[in-house]
Amino acid sequence: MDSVKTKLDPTRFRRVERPPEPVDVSYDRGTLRRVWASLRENRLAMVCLVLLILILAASLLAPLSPYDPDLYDLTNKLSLPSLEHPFGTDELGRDYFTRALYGGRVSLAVGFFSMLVSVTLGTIVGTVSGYVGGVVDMVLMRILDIIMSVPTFLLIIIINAYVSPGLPTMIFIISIFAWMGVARIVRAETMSLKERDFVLAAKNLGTSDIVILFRHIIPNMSSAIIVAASLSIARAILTESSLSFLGFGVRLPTSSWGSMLQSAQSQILYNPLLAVFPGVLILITVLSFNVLGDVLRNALEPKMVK
Amino acid sequence: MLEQSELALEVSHLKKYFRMKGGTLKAVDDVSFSIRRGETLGLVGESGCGKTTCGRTCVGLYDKTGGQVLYRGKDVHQLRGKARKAFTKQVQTIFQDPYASLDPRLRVEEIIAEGMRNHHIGAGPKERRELVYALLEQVGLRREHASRYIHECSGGQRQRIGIARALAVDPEFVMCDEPISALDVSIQAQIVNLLIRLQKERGLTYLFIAHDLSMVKHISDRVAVMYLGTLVELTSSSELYAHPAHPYTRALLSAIPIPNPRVEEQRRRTVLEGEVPSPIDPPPGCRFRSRCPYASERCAQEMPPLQEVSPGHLVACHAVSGR
Repeated sequence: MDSVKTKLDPTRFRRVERPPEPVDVSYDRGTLRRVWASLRENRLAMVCLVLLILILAASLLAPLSPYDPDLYDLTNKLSLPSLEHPFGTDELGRDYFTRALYGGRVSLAVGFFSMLVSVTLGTIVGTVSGYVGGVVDMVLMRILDIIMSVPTFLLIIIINAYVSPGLPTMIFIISIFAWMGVARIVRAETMSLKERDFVLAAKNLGTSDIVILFRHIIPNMSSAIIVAASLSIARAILTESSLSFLGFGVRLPTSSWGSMLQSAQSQILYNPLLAVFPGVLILITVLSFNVLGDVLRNALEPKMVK
Repeated sequence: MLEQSELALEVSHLKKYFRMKGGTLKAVDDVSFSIRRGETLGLVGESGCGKTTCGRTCVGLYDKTGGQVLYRGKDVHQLRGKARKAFTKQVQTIFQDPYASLDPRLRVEEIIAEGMRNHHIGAGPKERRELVYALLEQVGLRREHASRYIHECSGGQRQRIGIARALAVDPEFVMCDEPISALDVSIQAQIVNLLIRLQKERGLTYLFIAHDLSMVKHISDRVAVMYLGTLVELTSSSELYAHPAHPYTRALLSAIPIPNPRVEEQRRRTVLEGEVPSPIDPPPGCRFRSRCPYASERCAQEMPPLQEVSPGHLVACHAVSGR
């Protein structure tokens, strides 16, 4: 016993200083913070965001440019990039930078507004189809399948030949062929949400179906809609550029990135940069929207990651 | 039998089947019972025996497959439009899972006030807010909780919010679907006492679903025991605990520990062998026979009907009624 006691002599114990263990308190601080956190983690996404903001701001501020995008200056055609003309000038001597900015306005506007239209349309069709179910669902989904099976691009070109070209028609035509993907996502989400207990509880409280849709179902799938929206902007911009490239987009002289690519085609041997600038702008914008869409998906739907 | 006007809920031969890949899942199969006004009927049984489905079908949350549910003489599943809306004010539900049954996008205040808005209780937003505050205090929460989101509340708080939501429309009948099973024991007692107090204050009628017999004994006037979609025993709470008749009920009761080591040491426990069979396409005869120590040839052939063995004591067992 004695020996045990001596062993437990308190002087033999040394106090070890340890830093306090970090208490990991993580609160769900809301969607915005979560998005911001995953943006900061992802350097590529951050770069994309900055580039997008730059392109957006530059396009919005395009009227500040000292040049008229449509003014010919034939004495100064096909000049190389310089301080005066950062992107050089095109075959008619117009300042290419200014034209690119105005073209960006068209492309981004088409992208943004056709996203709005297609997401709205897709959400309406998707929620109705998923919520009502039965025959309504079947009919709507078959209509959707039919539209999806049509070679969209050809149809857009054909329709374009019959209607007067312009920004609103362009937006309308692109979006009526872009809502199906959103509708499918929204339908699936609606079908799973309407079985959830809180929707059942709302029904049990006598809440009408319309109110259930707007108050309980749509807000709970906002993240899926946001992701679909960001991807649909990218697609709409691509569609618009392709159409303009083929000459079915907005009417000249209004520029768009696609139409700039087209006119650069004939000058490609003299000044290949004319094709590079709008091409790179399209690339960056579409890529950025896609990357951000993915980041949003990861941030807003943590289930998919883990 | 009882007079019609005294009955709150009258369930007769209720069936609820789900069509599955492997066959028909008979979640509720020919269940009949009734609940008097102001009474609490406990519905007990093990997990997956169809208690929740039965409860939800009774209050019209699920469509029925067969049978009939009358609430104060009206067929619950035939109600449409205004009558249906009026029904949602009279009959409310406290959901089992306080995590899934509250909308994560809404503030507590909005959740509780939803039913009030639907049924035009309270003159305006201001008055409703006062009512919400009063309700929060009634269920033991504070005013501050009104502006919170669900993810900022604990499990016990959420369950109270669920209770407040159900009470907000001033119902007559509340289907409590395991309102306490998601909570830890210290809070369970609080919630049960809260429910008992509210029943006294407002004259509520409860259908109280649980798998915990000791808690059911505490709150119920009568208890119905369910096994694999069928009722096996239905009697008053005191009778059930004093004279359990059905072998399944006996086994369940013997699983309740007695807080006295000497008694606990002496008593013989009935331990059930085997697993609960699948409710998908169950074989004919008594559902319990595969685990029943008294099972006979007759049990395999015919389903025992729910019969009165003594006044107010109904049992579905050939061995008991044949005695």
